[in-house]
Amino acid sequence: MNLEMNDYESMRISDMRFAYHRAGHGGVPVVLLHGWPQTSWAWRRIIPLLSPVCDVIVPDLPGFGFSSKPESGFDKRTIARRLREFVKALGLSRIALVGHDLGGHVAYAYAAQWPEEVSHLAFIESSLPMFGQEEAMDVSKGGSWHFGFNMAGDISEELVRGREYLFVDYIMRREKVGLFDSMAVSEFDIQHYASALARPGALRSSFNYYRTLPIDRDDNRIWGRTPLSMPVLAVGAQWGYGDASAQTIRRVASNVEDVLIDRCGHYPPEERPAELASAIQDLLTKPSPQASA
Amino acid sequence: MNIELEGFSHRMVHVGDIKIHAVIGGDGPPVVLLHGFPQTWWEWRKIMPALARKFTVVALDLRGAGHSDCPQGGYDKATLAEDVHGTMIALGFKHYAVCGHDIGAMVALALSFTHREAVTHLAILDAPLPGWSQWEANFADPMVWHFAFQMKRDLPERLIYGREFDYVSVIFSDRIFNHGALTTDDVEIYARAFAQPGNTRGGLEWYRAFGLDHAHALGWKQAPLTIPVLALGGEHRYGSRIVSMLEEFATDVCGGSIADCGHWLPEERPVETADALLKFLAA
Repeated sequence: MNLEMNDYESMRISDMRFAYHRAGHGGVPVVLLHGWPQTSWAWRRIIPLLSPVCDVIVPDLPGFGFSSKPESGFDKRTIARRLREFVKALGLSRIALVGHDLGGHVAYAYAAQWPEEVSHLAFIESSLPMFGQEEAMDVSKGGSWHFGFNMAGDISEELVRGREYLFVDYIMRREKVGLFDSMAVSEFDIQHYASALARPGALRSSFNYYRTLPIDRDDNRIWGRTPLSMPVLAVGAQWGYGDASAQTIRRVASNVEDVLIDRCGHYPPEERPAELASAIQDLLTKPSPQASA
Repeated sequence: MNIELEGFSHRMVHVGDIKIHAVIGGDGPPVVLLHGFPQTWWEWRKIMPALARKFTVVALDLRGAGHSDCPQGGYDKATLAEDVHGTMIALGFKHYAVCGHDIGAMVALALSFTHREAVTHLAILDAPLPGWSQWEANFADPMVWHFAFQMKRDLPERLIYGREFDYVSVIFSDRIFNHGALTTDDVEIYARAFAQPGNTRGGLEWYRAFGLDHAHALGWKQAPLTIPVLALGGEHRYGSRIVSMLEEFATDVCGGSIADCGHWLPEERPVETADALLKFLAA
């Protein structure tokens, strides 16, 4: 546990409550969005590296961690709308967005809807329906089983209930795209994610991020017609999605640089925090022309 | 819960290194019935008496299911077909008709190709078949999410353990049209069978062998079957698509869709299924 994360507060928006960490209180505001099946805890090693130079804001996504478990609205358009309300409630109007895995889906939905409010975008080990996600989902071509499983319906919750540790541990140590360094995530860390997933509504929420992928696909199809113009960093991992994250984001953004981290699985924020934080800091130095209001 | 059927006897048949549970009754030319997932011979209970009036009916539990053995390996459909053929030979039947549903349909298809000399008729009930031109595309059907899940090694056994009833009942209810076809007791019979030590793994292993099954079937279909083939699909599942699917494997295919029926033909529409089978086997 690091001191930077002792600050774990709440913020109410119109239809839910966010739990979030904030560290730094100065410099460029940067919002870090975790992936599935994780929480803000995934950024524990990144926060102290960015906080000396940034205002670091790290929420639990709606349905995850200590944030509310909404009844509905898990399509990324709605999640991004909630996140923007949260950002506004913090008094911020323009932020840099960093998204890992499903957090990358949310970051894109935010940047695509309110491009003038996002100064920079980092897209880490992520994909987008309509722009490459389908290949990761195609099990006949080596795609992962968990998409179909997570989308199956109530049976997914029923099978995982009470077995959250087994499930998270298995997912994070998958044969393909699992952790490269097994020790990068400890039993304590897995337990942290598993406990979060065991809270009432957490499994339902978590799986609903997948059940809404077809809705996201329709939204992305429309948003993708207008490429993002802010500076974008794509981060891939050699043992994760490789260059797929960069290929995906290049289809919807015009100003992309990419980094491929060696000897790293699907979890760069936990596996290679120094490399990732330094890449994010480089991104933040890129000029981002303020849109004329 | 009585899992016996009047007029039928139970036998354990030694085939190679394993034992196969067979339920036998009736009189006439032999027909062997091969069940699917997550089932046992019990899925044929409603049509066995009708078939037994004209035929010797052998309903068996596949390797990995019911009271048959669950060895560590041999779950590709060609090996399961060897189990079936060995059972029929041990029972004294050199020539026989075969009818398979779901996974059992895959076994029936394999058996027809690997023992052309023995199989006189092939009936296929509602199943996607390895080797089918749409086999890979079919993985995108949300209704078969369990294919990829069950093909994953080890984890599914852990997640299903102790929740066999819930798992099995969802597999049934998501693919059924006539919800009156299966009683809670029936689901319980399947769930208890699936929960037997080794049987959960056994059932999942059928899926883990799909890669090999597909490769085998792509080779087999180069020399299509010439025996009569009946292909029946449930209207609300594979429907009449099953006929064109089988036409990729055989030259003499009849069949079609069973109305008001999901995936579980012999239980949802036993009269229509038995009638179609009797007509087909008598011809």
